[in-house]
Amino acid sequence: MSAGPVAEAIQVFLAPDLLLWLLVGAAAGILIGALPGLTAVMAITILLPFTFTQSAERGLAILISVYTGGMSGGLISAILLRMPGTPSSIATTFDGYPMAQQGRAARAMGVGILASFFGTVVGALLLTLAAPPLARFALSFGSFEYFALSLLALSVMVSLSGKSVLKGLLSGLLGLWIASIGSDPVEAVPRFTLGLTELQGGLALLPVLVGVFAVSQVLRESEHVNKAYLLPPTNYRGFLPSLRELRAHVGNAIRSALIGVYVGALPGTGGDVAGLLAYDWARRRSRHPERFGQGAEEGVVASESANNGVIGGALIPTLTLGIPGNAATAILLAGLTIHGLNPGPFLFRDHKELVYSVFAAVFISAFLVLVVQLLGIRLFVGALQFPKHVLLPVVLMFCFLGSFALNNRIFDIWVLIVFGVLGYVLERGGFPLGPLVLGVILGPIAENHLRIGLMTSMGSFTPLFARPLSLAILVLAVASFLSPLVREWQQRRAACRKGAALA
Amino acid sequence: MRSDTGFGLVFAVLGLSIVVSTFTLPERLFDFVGPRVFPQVIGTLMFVFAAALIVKDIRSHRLLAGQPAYGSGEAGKSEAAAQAGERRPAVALLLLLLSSAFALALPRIGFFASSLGFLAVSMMVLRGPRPARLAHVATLAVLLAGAMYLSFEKLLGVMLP
Repeated sequence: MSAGPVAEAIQVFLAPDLLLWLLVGAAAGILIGALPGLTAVMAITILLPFTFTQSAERGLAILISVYTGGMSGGLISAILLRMPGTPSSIATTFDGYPMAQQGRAARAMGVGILASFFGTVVGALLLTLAAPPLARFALSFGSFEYFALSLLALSVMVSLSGKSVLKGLLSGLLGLWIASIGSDPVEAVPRFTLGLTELQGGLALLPVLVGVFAVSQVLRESEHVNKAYLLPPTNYRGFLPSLRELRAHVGNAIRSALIGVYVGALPGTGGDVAGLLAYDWARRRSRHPERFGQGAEEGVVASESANNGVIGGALIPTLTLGIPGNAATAILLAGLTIHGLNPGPFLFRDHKELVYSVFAAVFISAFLVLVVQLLGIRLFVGALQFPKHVLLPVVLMFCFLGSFALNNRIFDIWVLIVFGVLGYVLERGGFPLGPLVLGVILGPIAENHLRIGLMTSMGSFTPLFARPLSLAILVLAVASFLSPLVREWQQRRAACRKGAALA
Repeated sequence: MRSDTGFGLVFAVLGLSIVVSTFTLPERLFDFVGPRVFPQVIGTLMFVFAAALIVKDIRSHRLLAGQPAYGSGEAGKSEAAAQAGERRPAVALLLLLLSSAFALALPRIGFFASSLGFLAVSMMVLRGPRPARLAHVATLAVLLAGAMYLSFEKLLGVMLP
């Protein structure tokens, strides 16, 4: 697809009134995405009715700007509070928050915002230039490929385990078990529901995630009675990287954005998986992997570039095949349907202008979100200068409201509280939370796809190893699982030899 | 009890319980794996890794038993005491109880009243040793509860109790 018509569409979008709508949408998305307990998907769902009175192009453009803002806004609370504003920003907390604790909150945000922008633009470029072939690639993924991919993502547990691989694996297994609570995905047999009707549908991801990260963090912060503020004073000098520093991050940003686009293009996977995979790869490729988890900018770049690359990636199967790439694009699909349009191959043929306007909207939203966030850095960081005794209850309230708003159930607030306690206790015991969340997200994907795959192959595992794509991903998964263990064993052997030589 | 051994025991019991409870599930109805297999694998691995954690913890404590403990001198004792003094787990517990009280009160007395109470009491609890001005805290709680009610119910259309 050529870029000429897209450029024309961009010019149309530069009309002041539409630009204002897009700016408001981006700002609303950033605000909702930044609040722990509210997500980008919620932002689009809530604002969808506002677009009914607009034309299809405008309505969709506004929703895309909200989506882009929401995906990017998650980094604000991830960095400043260690509470991912959206599930996609989980990996941003690993290094963004330590940077904030070191007085480098503004720098973490500057780097994260630029990485988000870069990821969105790369995703938009691939969407514009290569949507149909990428969609065909996404379609080539069958159940066994999805299963292999989920194993690859699960292998990241080992890298996220930090000092104790055993504790990381136990945390991950706990997450996998939590994900199995509810009706099993194929035969709908209730598992571990304790007879509760509310558990028949399983545990919603949002209260689990927000509880484990945000509520546990609030409980931890509340213990430090002599600490009046959440963050130390922030140094705003050099919050934007220089050109030389940017060049050092470009390789990581491109690789992470591509991971985001590919993962986003796969229906059923989203920014959370993309961010964690990209983070792991960045750590393995880094010259200083030991800095990850302690405030490494590369970690923030990888996570944010990947989770925003998902925006363009998820739109690929949505527009070309009518298959939503994730929950957010499912709502965009609903928006298209409400306006009387059918996404799929015929959309490109019969409504080219709409397709070009979607591409243009992603580019323009990326710039608007960049501007709003860069201008708002002092405001965001400054908000943390409120005393802790005011901020923490407010944060908790947003967590309660976000969990309640999901299904209008008090039960989800209880889930939030229980998982807050669980996260608090696990961290006190030195168990990392990243693998637990990974298990919760990937458990259903892995089980569902393996079982469906085996049904289609009449119980044979052969396709898992015979299909080139699934075999390649499986080999990567095994290598990814074993390499940190091998590295640790080599380091121990080297340390023993050194000790023996000195003795 | 050493914390790693304690956690290991909890995980071991959980793993065992998971495996045992899967035997109440049907083996399989129409697919080749059935609803039992994944939880059984998870429970078994959990038990095995938990046992490994317990063994590792016991062995590492035996190794350290013959050596002087790091920080066991006066400097270490005062450092540990200072760290313990900085943290007050009782405040976290209070906040947890307040959160539970909020969840209990919400469907009974509505959002505004329950959030007002939660915000006011938790702000006072978190102020710690610094004196709290009741009027200040109450005003802030009313404003915050009102703002949240207006933004969620009126602006975002989320129906609150």
